[in-house]
Amino acid sequence: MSVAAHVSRVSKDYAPFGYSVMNRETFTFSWDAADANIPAGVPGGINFPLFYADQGGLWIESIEVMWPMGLPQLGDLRPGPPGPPFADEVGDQWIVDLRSGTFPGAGSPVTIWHFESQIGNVPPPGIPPGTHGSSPIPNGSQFVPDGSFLYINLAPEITGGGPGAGPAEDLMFQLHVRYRSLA
Amino acid sequence: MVVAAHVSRVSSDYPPSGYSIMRRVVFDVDEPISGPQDFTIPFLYSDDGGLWIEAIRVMWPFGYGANYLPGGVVDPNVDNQWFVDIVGSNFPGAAEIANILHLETFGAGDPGAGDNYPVGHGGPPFNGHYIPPGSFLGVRVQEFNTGAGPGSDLAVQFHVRYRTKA
Repeated sequence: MSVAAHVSRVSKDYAPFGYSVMNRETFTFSWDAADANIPAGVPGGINFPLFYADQGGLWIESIEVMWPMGLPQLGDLRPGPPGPPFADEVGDQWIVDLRSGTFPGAGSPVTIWHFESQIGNVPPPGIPPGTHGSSPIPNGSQFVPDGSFLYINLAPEITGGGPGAGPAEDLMFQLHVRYRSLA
Repeated sequence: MVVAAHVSRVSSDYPPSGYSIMRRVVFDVDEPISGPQDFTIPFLYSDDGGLWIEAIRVMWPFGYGANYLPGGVVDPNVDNQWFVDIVGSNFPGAAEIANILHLETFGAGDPGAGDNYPVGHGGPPFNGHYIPPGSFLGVRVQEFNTGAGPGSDLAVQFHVRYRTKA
């Protein structure tokens, strides 16, 4: 049986999909630091489910991370170059994971993408608006098994003693996810 | 032609999709406390053959009531409650053509953070499947303040799997 070129890309290696189709999803996540009322010390952070994998599971083919408005070192998220950090807030940071697991926040989730807004107590130079790039998907984590969720884990880490209960930075990013699922 | 097992699931009983493909959509309801209200938000438009709803999974990312997080306000008055319906409608606010799911926060116990369950398999009944062309799939949110104060914040997700024409 002759098949179109794109059908031949439907590899049996994408078990157990068999004949599969490509899908795309875009997730936009934003958090206003002024409303950052995530209590400090929430064990394991907070989980935001993106979608549920059933009927054969999902195979993540690619992830493109986009920062539409960039990410400031600290402070408000707004167009323009990142502003200087506030001394008493250095050290507050966002730790963001894209994970898959049978139950958000439980079990042994697999981390697909990991981001930290600061490394240690050193503010990064900031991320210019429009920055984007593909994120490598670790071997073994492409497959989201049947009955699992794909979800974002948000774990604010507050070490700088800044005001409020959350990091001083606003946070906004997009994940453009291409995946295969059963037809 | 021999086809894989799942292809045989593409039944001609799913009119008029014929050979169809599976899609997913996730819709979030995130409603802070306020006065009594009743509104419908469409999240999927059905055209070109209509949609066949295969499955819905209800997810409470932060739980409800005492388990709500972050920033939730716990309402001690248990008379206040939310009704949430997944509906098919020709137009938001117009008569519903299908009530697919009805969910009530009152009386069901507070779901914990991360609680999730399928609809129609021990969960709320699954009342309909087919959304004809020209209709919307939407969520209707109603808050009933039968008590003295506002109800708790509401945050619930619906993971909808559906079939559409290939």
